[in-house]
Amino acid sequence: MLAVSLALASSARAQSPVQAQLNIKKESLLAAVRDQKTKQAQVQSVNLDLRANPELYLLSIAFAQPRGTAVARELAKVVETARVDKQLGSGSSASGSTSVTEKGAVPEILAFAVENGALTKSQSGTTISFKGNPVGIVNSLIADSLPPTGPLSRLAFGLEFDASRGSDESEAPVFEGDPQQLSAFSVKYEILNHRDPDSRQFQERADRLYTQQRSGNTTTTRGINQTLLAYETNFVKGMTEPAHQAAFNTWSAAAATALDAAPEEQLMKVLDEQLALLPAQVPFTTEELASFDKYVEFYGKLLDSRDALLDLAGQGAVMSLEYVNSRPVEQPTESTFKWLYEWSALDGKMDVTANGLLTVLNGTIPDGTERLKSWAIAAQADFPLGSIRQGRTLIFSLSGRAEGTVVAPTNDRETIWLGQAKLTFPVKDAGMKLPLSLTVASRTDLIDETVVRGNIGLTFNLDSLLGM
Amino acid sequence: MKIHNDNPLDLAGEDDEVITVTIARSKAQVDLLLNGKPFTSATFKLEKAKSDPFFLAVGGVYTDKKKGGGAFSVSLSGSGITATQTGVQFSPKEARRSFVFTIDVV
Repeated sequence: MLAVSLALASSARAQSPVQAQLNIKKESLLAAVRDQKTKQAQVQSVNLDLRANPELYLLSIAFAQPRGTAVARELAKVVETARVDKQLGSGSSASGSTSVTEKGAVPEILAFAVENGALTKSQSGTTISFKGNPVGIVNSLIADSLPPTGPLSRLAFGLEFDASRGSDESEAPVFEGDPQQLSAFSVKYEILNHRDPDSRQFQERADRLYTQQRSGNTTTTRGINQTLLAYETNFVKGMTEPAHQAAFNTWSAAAATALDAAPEEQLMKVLDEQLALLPAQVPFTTEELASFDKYVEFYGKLLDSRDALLDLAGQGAVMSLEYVNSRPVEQPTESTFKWLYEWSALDGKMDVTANGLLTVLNGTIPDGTERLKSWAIAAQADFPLGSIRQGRTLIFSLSGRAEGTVVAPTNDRETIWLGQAKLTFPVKDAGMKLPLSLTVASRTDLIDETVVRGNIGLTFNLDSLLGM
Repeated sequence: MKIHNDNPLDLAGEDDEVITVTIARSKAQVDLLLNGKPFTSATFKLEKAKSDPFFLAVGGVYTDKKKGGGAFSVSLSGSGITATQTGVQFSPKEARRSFVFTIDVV
């Protein structure tokens, strides 16, 4: 399935980030054209007014031929389109069918919801998990709807099925989705999310970062936006010169006529054809063509700068509460209450994660058994120590965990604690990391002694390989 | 101030006329350049000797690439007439949008 997904991904049309923006400008213009046509009105030249959309014209002319070094460089920065994500996502969900067969109405409904993006599905062994958001489910079934907002959008639920339940050990597990196979369900609510662009905190950080010079950059996002505006002013100014204006008016009248006559399915093709004619019809000077090339360079810089800004603005606090009801076979059901907190401070120089957990037994419990099964609290702080080379970052982490649980064979409740200091070295090739850690624990397994242990590990992030 | 061809970007105003600029924005950062220079004031005066036409370029950088919904609008008012142009984020993937007002000085 992975091979099929990758093959589909490679067949998707590739484009650079700036080209992707150009395509959005074209789609936006065509939306206005369609709107005009719906009203039975002619596509007027005013729709093609260059003052309303200087980016469309500047980028179209610049990309008409890779004549400049900036355009050539931009074209080399090829990324897959959004269709790739969709294909790969579909492959991931389809992988569930490799080891566990599915049948019955419930799996079909859940599979339909997964296919339509209303639920996400994951599988580990014979356990199949579904996660979703009630508002998101309704939203995903409405065509072209935007992601949900508002308090209800913060509510999520999860269902976990154990496909091995209800079938003989000699048979392959069959996912039927009946109550017997339901091994857990959960409800999660985000109390606060300052990483949400809708939050006031996110937008305040964006305001601040927009005018701030950040490490590795010689200018601000505002500075780059102003540079683009200077190019756009010069372009509009140049196009109001008599020679250019007459040629552009002739072009826009012909383009409007062509779009007016084009059937719906041909609109993009006709627009592309018309835009391709523009540089031939308007006598641009060598200096003007060179400036269009520089415009592409600055447009690419703006996209990079905006991405970095939004990444930093999105490093606020997130806090959520989760309730998990676990249903083990022939044992009392358990309720677990989780508190989760993530926070990034000092413009991403410190990431803090903390969580707390409490598990109690539900219903009637045997005499002598405590209702409180276990508790745990944990915290971790990550400090990126800076780039060693080519953007690879050395990370120092401090973490601690305390856990209260009943320990065999005495069945006494004990508090176990663990502290760890870790240095994570990025290794040369993508995705490789070498963690070096020092762990201090009150006990391990049944050894009732303090243990000090040093660990060197090697981790490999498969996602970075698949993302290459 | 006058609006030509029903196009709010195609304007004309009298020499010495004062134009008031109003900006509204949501999930967007907005910059203005008047005749090629950063403009941060609330008003400017049309002066034929300085430039004809006047060029007021507006660029909005959207600050939500997840959900979209960014929008900004710039209104120019003078002699009882107001011309408004908006920049609504077409899709969450749209990063920026710009437009340029031209104001002939008559």
